Amino acid sequence: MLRLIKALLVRISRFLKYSGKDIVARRYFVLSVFDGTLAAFGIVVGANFVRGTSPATIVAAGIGAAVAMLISGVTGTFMTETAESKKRLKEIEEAMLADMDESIVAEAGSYGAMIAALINGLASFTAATTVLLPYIISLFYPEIAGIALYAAFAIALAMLFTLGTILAKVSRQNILAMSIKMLLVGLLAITLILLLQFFTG
Amino acid sequence: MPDKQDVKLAKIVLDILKPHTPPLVDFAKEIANVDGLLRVDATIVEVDTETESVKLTVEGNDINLEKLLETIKRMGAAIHSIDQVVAERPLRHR
Repeated sequence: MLRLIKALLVRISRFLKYSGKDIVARRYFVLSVFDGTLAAFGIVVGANFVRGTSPATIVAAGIGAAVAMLISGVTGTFMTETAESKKRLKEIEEAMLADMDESIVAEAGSYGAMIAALINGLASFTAATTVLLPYIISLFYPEIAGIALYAAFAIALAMLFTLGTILAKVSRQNILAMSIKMLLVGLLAITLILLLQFFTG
Repeated sequence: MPDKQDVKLAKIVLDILKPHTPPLVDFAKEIANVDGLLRVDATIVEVDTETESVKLTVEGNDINLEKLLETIKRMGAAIHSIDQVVAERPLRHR
């Protein structure tokens, strides 16, 4: 089983590398986790301003947004990346003066687009549902509903911090500085939501 | 006298044109998986914007030429020419 998973991962990384979508997929992953985290946390913070909002409502709204991000991420990225792959293949075919439809280059282009699309969609979906996790758990254990907001807040900030760490490692920058920058962006988003709620009553 | 089937291909030198991906290391490794191959030597001769010309030397004890050409094409390369072939008769026929 472990060998099968390893072989699958090798295949996936080869498709991404050959199609040139390894960097694209990494970028999509970071952007989508960021989007998913902030979108879900925005829903959580916003919903908490309305008195009497139940965890079930927050979970329903959050999961709805997460599914919408999943669908939009997968389909939008798949169509865009497939078009890019086809364009790239045509350029190579013109240089090679040969039809390459049966080659690994064409295969990697198609699968690479599919993998990048799945990464984009699933990253935002997973990030959003992770932030919603305390509310999902509170559906089964209502006693933790009181701390769900703080738990969601902690999870969201921890995810942003981790994302900063990943970005710093990729760009070989200072890990702490980059992670704090990401945290500040998250806090800025939350402040804007709070201000908006304050002014709109 | 041995018939043609008994003669084994021991070395083939090809002039091929390939895109930059898959990279040369992956390309050579994949070629090395072809039946009967013992050694693959891939040397870049010329690099262009989208392509690179490669001198591919393969050695083995019974090279499966059909599979070799098929693998090269599958890896996205085009064969320009077969520049050298070494064929051997089995020892019992010498």
